[in-house]
This record gives sequence, structure tokens and C-alpha cells, in this order.
Amino acid sequence: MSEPRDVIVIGASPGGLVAAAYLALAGASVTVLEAEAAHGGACASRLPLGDLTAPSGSHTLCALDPRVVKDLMLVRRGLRFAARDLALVGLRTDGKPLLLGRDAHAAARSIAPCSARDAERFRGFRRDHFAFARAMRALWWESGALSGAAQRDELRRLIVTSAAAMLDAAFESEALKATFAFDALQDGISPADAGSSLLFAWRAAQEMCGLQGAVAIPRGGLAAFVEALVAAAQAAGAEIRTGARVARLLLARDAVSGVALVSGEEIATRVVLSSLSRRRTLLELAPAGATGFAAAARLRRHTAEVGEGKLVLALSSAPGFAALQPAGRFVIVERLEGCVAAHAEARAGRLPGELALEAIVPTSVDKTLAPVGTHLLSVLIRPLPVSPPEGWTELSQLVGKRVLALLERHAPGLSASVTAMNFVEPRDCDPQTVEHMLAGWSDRIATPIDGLYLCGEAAEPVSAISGRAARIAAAIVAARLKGEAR
Amino acid sequence: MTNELLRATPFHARAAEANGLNAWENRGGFTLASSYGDAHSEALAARFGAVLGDVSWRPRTAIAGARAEEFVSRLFTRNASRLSSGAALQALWLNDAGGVRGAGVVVRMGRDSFLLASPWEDLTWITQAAALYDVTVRDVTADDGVLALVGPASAQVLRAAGLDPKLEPLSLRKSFWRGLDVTLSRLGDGYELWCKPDDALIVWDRIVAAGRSFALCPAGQKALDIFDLEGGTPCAGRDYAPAREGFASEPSPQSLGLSGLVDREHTFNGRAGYLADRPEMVLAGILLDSETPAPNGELTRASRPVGRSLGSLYSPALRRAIALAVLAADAAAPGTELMLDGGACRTAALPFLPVPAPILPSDGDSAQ
Repeated sequence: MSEPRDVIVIGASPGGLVAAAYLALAGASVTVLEAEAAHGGACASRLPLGDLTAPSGSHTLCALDPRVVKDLMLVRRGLRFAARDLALVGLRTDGKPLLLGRDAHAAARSIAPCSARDAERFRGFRRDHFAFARAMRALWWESGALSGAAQRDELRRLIVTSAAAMLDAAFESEALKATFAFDALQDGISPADAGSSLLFAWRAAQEMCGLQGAVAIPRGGLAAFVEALVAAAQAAGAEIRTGARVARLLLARDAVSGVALVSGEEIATRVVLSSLSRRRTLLELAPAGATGFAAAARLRRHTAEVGEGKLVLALSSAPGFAALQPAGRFVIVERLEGCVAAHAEARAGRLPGELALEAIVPTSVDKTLAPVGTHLLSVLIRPLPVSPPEGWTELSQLVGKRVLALLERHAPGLSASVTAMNFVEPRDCDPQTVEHMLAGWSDRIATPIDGLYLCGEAAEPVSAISGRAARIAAAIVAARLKGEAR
Repeated sequence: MTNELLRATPFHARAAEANGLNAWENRGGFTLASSYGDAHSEALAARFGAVLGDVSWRPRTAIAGARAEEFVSRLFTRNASRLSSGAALQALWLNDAGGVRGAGVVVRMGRDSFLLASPWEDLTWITQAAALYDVTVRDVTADDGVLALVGPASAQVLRAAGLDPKLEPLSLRKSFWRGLDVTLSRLGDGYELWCKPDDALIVWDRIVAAGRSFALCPAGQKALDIFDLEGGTPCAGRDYAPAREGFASEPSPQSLGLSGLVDREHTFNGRAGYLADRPEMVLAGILLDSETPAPNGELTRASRPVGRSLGSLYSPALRRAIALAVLAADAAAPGTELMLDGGACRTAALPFLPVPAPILPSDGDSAQ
């Protein structure tokens, strides 16, 4: 048995590192156990791409908690942004691309050829939507309640409104609706599901670099962001061990008493924070039965069916659409209805007929990522079946081909310039629901096992790199440790 | 289950011959005699002589696998993993929030196998939970025919039939009985004799033949229910509705007065919910000043509600209607005058009537 610790954090993903840093700052002895050799989890640049590497997870930050940035002094520890506000660009085959940047006038001008009415409405829609989203921060940023009767009415309306219905009611232009639809395909929720409109509100409630609803790219990629978090955690006094895979949780009755590593080492602790999914934490790490029979059965039964994949390409020349907007995220979605149908197909385990893509060209804003003359193109693909019957080894080839063909239509000559590519299949994560989005923070963070908490993306209302769940989990744990010390 | 065809128990042919009034009822999907003549006289016979009842319908669930011991320990509110082979204990099983899903007798059959005998079937829940431990759960109700032998003379009947009646309560013994493999157990109010379905009619005939000199008569389900209720054991499904949902916290063991079947120190599913502060109710008996049973009624004292009745039946031995009830502790003292659904009644200690201990014949006067 190694020396006992106050807190063990499983996984050096951003969530785990933020929780470790906060708890170490609060005076607890903290050890982070990372299974892999590198920090960062899905943010680590581990995906080989010719001579380069890329992270396997998300390629942008859209929900980083501003308080985490401030409290952990991440700017002082080297966090810089290569792009602070990526403009949403809808690439169309049937007309000019839609440029939906922060400048409402420019966006309206871009929408006008599709629909004059939508161009007129766009600004008001965004203003009202952003105002409601700011009110929702009471729920999504802290454990508070929504204030104001009008806001509560709006929430009641959105809980039963699907993303598709919300877009249909707001706009008439198919191109505009399709461009927004990509963001509604998050977390395996269908744009036709009641309450999926809240995904828009959640995104709009976020703030990056002081800008509401912005999407940013850290300089040096997400790996550089992780390094800043590692520096913050270590400066606070947390110990971070890599190559230390946790085999199982040790329980005394129904409370955490320690963790056992794959190596056989055992570390005693009363508190464990897991940055893994709820499913993995409770079904794979915790002993059978400790979760409760009904809760375990529910976790086993409800698995994520729909997820997102990622295709990363190294190119010898920049794709044509990159010239439209250097700092842009390029969305390729044909039709809103297509997304709904695609989600149903993915849910049935089939590869959808229409795929929705979001492409970014990180090298056009950050020259440090690749040598001169090499360009990176990172593409998120939604919706994809998480476990297709034929298996992903076979299907990944097909998806690669389909995505390349789609990109080729918007950037002729792209296929010829590909020097390397790699595909990441959808991750098996917790299935998300509207109830989960609106649950209290403590419900998302706590588990049926005393002393076991979640601090990763599974505890966020919508799975995203944020650090907010970790910060709140750390506060809950710090209060508990303080209470025990008394 | 309601769409399934009714099955016959292995003893059905003999039951049909004896059932002169053709009074049948459905218990757990089996056709059973509700009474063979007069349920009240059968209940009295169980108290003063011996009766033979078909209890093959009572659900029995086999739990087996390498981790069966670990699973059984977690499932039940008392530690069944410490049982030795052939021994049994009474316990509850709860859902995640501490609601009672059922109560029964857990028997250890072998190193890695257990048997749950309970009048309430909960196969789906137990199977779902067992999947976490890779333990197999099987409904073995139809694998055996089970005859209950109840009454003070039951041991003498067994001795006359050539079976050794010396058996501790809550235990089970396999034996070879004149060419038949049978199991004798004492899991309920009397003896139970288990046999293969193909041997069932022979077993019935042998017991009936041995019981002639003890006035042994067959008893229907109504009589067994009366006898059971007089014994004061509440039964899921009959006396109270168990929790169906996985996260419902009612009925809690406390609200049914069943805390005695829960070991607070043992780690079981729903323990946190059980330990949460809940008002402790007392399980008591109610003697009604009436012959009409009043199940699920409200009990009041000076117009103030103090509890509710569970199952209620007419007891021929007490010549009045009786009921099980859960009461607030201050109203549970025996003899307290209460009102039940507008009728006068008073509380009584449980059991109403003790389960008559079998009179074990001394070795000398055996009929062998």
C-alpha cells in the first residue's frame, strides 16, 4: 500500500487536471493517475498523421470556464489563443457560402441572397437567443435558479421544442437552417428530439475569450492548453503520474477506501474523482453491486448509440474554402431534414446517407502546428453509429471516402493534395438526455458510491471541454474534506 | 403472465379427485384447489391435527454461479453467504432506494448455489442484478412438486410414512425414500416435502395412506392462507404491494414493521435508503369485533390515524376476523382499542396463534 492521499483523480484529461489543481490549492494532497504515457486524454496529440500528430477529440474550445482560466492563472502559464472567435461558415453547393460571423450586418448581407426575411430577422433572433442563454448561466455556470418569469416561460417552451422546430420557426431559408443544424447534432441527441433546442442555448451561454458564444483554438493546439493545466496543477502541488492505469476502486462497505492500479499497487484514499464517463466509472472500476442494482441495470441498458467521428488530414496545399475566412469553422450540411433522417439511420446502426461535417484548418491561424507548406484539416463527422454491426475497422474506410468526396465538392483538388489522413471512430460515452442537461450540478457530479465523484465531460450538462464540472466537483470535495477535518 | 395458460401442478390429478366442489383458483399461473370442502374446517384441522396442501405453485428461484455467494450477500438484507449447506434464513430484498421488493427464505443448496423460496416472484429484477455478477438465475418452480404438511400431527404422519421428521426449522435435507429421491424441509409453517413431478402422485398417495390414522385431510389454498395469517407473517403481494420500480423508496422495511429481517451491519442493495431516517412502524395483529375482514383499511384512535391494516381474513380458530397491521409505536401495545374502517377492534401480539410445534414421536412408538 502506497502512502495514503486525500484525493485521487482518475485521468489527466482537462477535467481531471482542473479538479486536481483546485483541490491542491485548497490544501489537499492530490494524485492524478493517467493510464496513458501522455497527459490530456482525447486532447493529447497522439493521433499519427504522417510526420505530424493531432488530438483525437474535439478540435476547438467553445465552453472553457472563464473562472478556471482566471483562478488557475492559465494565461500566465502559457495559454494563448490562435483564434478567438471562429466565424461559422455554411458551405453550399447551391449558392454562395453563408458567412455568419459576429458582425450582424455582414451576416445579414450574406443571408440576404437566400432570404431577405431571414436577413432581417437574424439579428433579432441572435439578440433574443443570447439574452436567454445569458440567463441560463445561472443553471449552467453555477448551481442557481433561473430568475425572471419570462426566462422561465422560455425555458419551459424550449424543453419541449426540438432544434428542428426552433430553426423552422425562426428561419425560412433551408441553407441557414442547415448551417445551424450541425451544432444541434451534439451528444447523440436528434435535432427532432424534444428539448434539443436547448443545445443551442447551451452553446450560446458559453463564453470564450470574453465573447459570448465564441469558438476558439488555443495556440499550439489543445495539447498546449493541457500543458498549461498540467503546469497549474503541479504548481498547486498536485502529483501527476502517467502510465498508471487504475484497475478498480477499493470500497469499504459502500464508501471509497482506495484505488488499485493495474500494476498491483494500492493507494488508500477516501475521495476519488473520475474524469471518465459515468458508465465506465461505475460499471468497470467500481465493484459489482456497489452502484445499486437498478442504477447499474440502467447504465448497462442505456448506451450511446450515436456519436461523432473525426477525420484529420495533412494536405500539401490549403483547401479552397480556407480563403473565404481564415478563422472559420466550415459547416457542410445539405438539409436540416437530412440531419434528422441521418440521426435515425445512425441510431439504427447504419452509416447515414447524408453526413454533417464541421471542418477547420488549424494551420491557417497557427503556423506552429506544421512545417511551412503543410496544412492540417480537421473534420468532425456527425452523426455516426457508435457500434455498427459490421464493426468500425471496415466502416472507417467507407466514411473516409465519403467525407473526402464531400469535401472535394467544396474544395476541388483537395483529394489530390492529401499526404496523410487518419480517422477516429466515435467514442463510447454516456448517452445524454435533456434531463441530464437540466439536472443540478451535484446530481451530475455525485455517484451512488460515497466518496466517488465525476469531474469530466460526463458531469457537464453537454459533454465539452469546460473544466466547470471539475471546479464545482472540487468545491464539493473541498467542503467535505474540511468537514471531515473538523 | 395473465395471458399464459394455467398450468397444472404435479399433484393435480389427486387434487381433482379430492376436490368435490370443484373450487379452483389461480396462484402464480397454476390451477389449485381453493378448498376441498370447507375452508374453515380445513384451517381448524391444520391447527389441531394435520393437513396436506399443495404448495408447488410457490415461486422458487435457483441462483447459481462462481460468484453466487457474493451476489446473494449483496441481494438480501441478511448475510446469506454465511449459511452452511442445507440451512436457510428469512430475508428481504430491496431496490436501490430501500423499497421492499420481496421477502422470502434463502436456502443454501451447495457451495455456489442458493435457492430463494418466496410467495412473491421477482425474477426480472433478480436476473438483472445477477447479470452484474455473471450469476445465472432460473425459475425452478416447475422442477419439483412440493407438498406442505402442516399441523401438530404432521411429524407423526411423516414418521408413519417412513421419513425421519427430526429437522431443525429453516433447514432442508435430501433423502432417499423407498425408491424416491425427495427433499424434506421446514421453510414455512410446517414441513415441505419436495419430489420430482413424475413421483408426485406416489408421494401424495403414500402420505395420504400414512395419514389415515391421524385424520389427515387435504387443505386448499384458502385454509393455508388463514393458517399463515394466524402465524403473523406478512406476505408480499397478499398483504402489501411491494415496490415495483427500481428507485421507489416505499414500502420501506420500517413502514411494514419488517426491520427485524434487516441486518443493519450487513452490506446489501438499498442499505443507504434503509438507513435514512424513517418513522419506525410496528407490525401488530388486529382482532376485529366482526366476522367481516377489513384489508387495507385505516386504523384510528380517537379519530386520529395511527396506522393501516394489511391482509385480513376470518379466522375460524379465533371465531372473528383478524388482520395484520402496521401501527405507530404508541398504538401498538396489545389490547389497545382502535377503530378500523368504522368498526371496533383491538390490537393483539403476533402471532395470533402460535404455529403448532410438531409433536415429535419418541423413537419407540414409531409406526415403522
